[in-house]
Amino acid sequence: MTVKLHRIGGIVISIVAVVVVATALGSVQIPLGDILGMLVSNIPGLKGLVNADWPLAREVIVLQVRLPRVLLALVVGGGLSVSGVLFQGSLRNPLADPYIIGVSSGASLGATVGLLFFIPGGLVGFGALPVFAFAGAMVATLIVSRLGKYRGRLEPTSLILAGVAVGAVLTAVVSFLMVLRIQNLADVYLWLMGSLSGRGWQHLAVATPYVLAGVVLALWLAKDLNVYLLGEEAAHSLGIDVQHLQRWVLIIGSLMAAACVSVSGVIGFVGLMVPHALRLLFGAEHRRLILHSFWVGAIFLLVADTIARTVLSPTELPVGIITALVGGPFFIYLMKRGSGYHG
Amino acid sequence: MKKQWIWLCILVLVLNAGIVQATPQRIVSLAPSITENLFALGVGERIVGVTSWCDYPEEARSRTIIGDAMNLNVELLLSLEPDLVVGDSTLVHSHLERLEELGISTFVVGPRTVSEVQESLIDLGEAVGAKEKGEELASSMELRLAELTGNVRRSEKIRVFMEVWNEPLMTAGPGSFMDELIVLAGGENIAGDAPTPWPVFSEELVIERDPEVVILTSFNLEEALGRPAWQVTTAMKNGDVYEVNPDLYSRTTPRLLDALAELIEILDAIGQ
Repeated sequence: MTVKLHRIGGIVISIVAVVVVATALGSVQIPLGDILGMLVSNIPGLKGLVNADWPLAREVIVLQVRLPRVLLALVVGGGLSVSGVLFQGSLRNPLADPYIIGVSSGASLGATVGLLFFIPGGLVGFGALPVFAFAGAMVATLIVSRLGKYRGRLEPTSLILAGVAVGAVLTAVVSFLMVLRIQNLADVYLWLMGSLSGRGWQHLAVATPYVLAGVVLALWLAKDLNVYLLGEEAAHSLGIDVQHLQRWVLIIGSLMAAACVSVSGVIGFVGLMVPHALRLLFGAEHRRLILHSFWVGAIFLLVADTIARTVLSPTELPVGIITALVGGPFFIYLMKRGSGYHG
Repeated sequence: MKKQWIWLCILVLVLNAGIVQATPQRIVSLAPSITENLFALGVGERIVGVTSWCDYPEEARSRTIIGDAMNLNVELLLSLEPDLVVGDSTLVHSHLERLEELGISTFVVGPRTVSEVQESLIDLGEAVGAKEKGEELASSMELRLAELTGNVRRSEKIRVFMEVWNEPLMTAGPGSFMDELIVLAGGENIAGDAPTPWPVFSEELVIERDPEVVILTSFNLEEALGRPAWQVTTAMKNGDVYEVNPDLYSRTTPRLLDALAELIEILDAIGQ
């Protein structure tokens, strides 16, 4: 294990600090003291320590609106980044990202079908939206992984091409449905844009188990991925079942991406760029790459989302604008600073 | 025995106080039409939050803006401490569910015809403690509607093309207010066979069906008059292309009848 204990401690402390600062910022100005008080008074057993003299509406804003959104940004940012590491590692393609094999278009179709045909009609509530999106993502991934087999073996190039083709078809179906059904279009647009706005604890509960389990499993596969980096032949000769590895990496990466997309819509750039940036900074050893991608991706999306919801308050910007605008130039700087880039 | 009566009186008083308290005092509106209707119901001073599109009446602009048609700043809305949020079911639905989760009481309107506008005024009036005003508004709409349509004496139906947007060319199909207004005004919507309320429409069909009137709702008169292919239509030849205020034609308020009156006037001028 190359990551030392005090480093992990530093990472945890920096995440907590960013969370507190992000929770303190928003359209409504709330004193930091009140926010800390609200957080502390909701830890079981510590309620008596704080004198709760703030208005109830403020507590709802902090605990039901801001905090779940802040934590969801961490989970989605971390999840997309680790998923990106897995796809880039297993497909050995620098352009691979969590959406490359159809997760995003499948989720979009699932969400659109749910929104246009089931949800506002009263059959099921909006709480079911992530379920529709998740189901769509998984179906699309299954189709693509079937099509991506060449002579019975998963083959990166076929997978990527199948992903592009299936993605195009599904996106066309989404557009077609939107032309046909005009009702509830506003909800569909809002979902397709990708955003963390208006998300609550239940979204966090949907995404977190998949993302955390995914990170643990990814760490478990890290050693094999390192060997696979040397080439398929080398991996074989060192006794690694490449097909087995690829299948697991795809399953874990897709589940993580699907969980993230189902709660936040399609947020681009994070899953592609964060792993690359960290490879440039720390090298391609996968265990380190996965751990660092998780916390850096988490903080990156949280910072971007905090900027998105505060910079033009009371209007909110789509978070994708901020991730690309802030992350893009930084990535270019990293790329040019080093001695060139070797995926 | 007497004591019990006193207790009963107190109980009744308390319950009444509860009912009086239940009349919303801090209302947030999530659509321009709702804002207009709340002002029409006489409860405008109780509105604390509106959308950036709420521009009528002028006084609505002085309220805190909590979002637009798509996006909602939930924390800003909560900070206004509303006791009722009124939303339109034809706009973003998910916001309303999210607000309910946060313990805010919501009321949903979503009229799709002129008569549903009348009903929704009564319902909304009831929800904000202005039931009588709502009924009054609805019945005066009813009267005005009868008066306006009763005066239409044209025997020929006039072919109308209602242009909602120019790029892409969008019009109003069946199920939209604009379509209903055309029919009420004694016109024939040349997009009356469209599959959806707001379809993207074929330019070829417009020329083929030769509208006698073109109504523009996106302030593009100059551009529309310059379209080469459209010059063959009767509307263009006779100069019957009109720019109208889209808010009148699309907002589900009593002002829809102002739009109807204007449309009847336009068609009457042609019918003679």
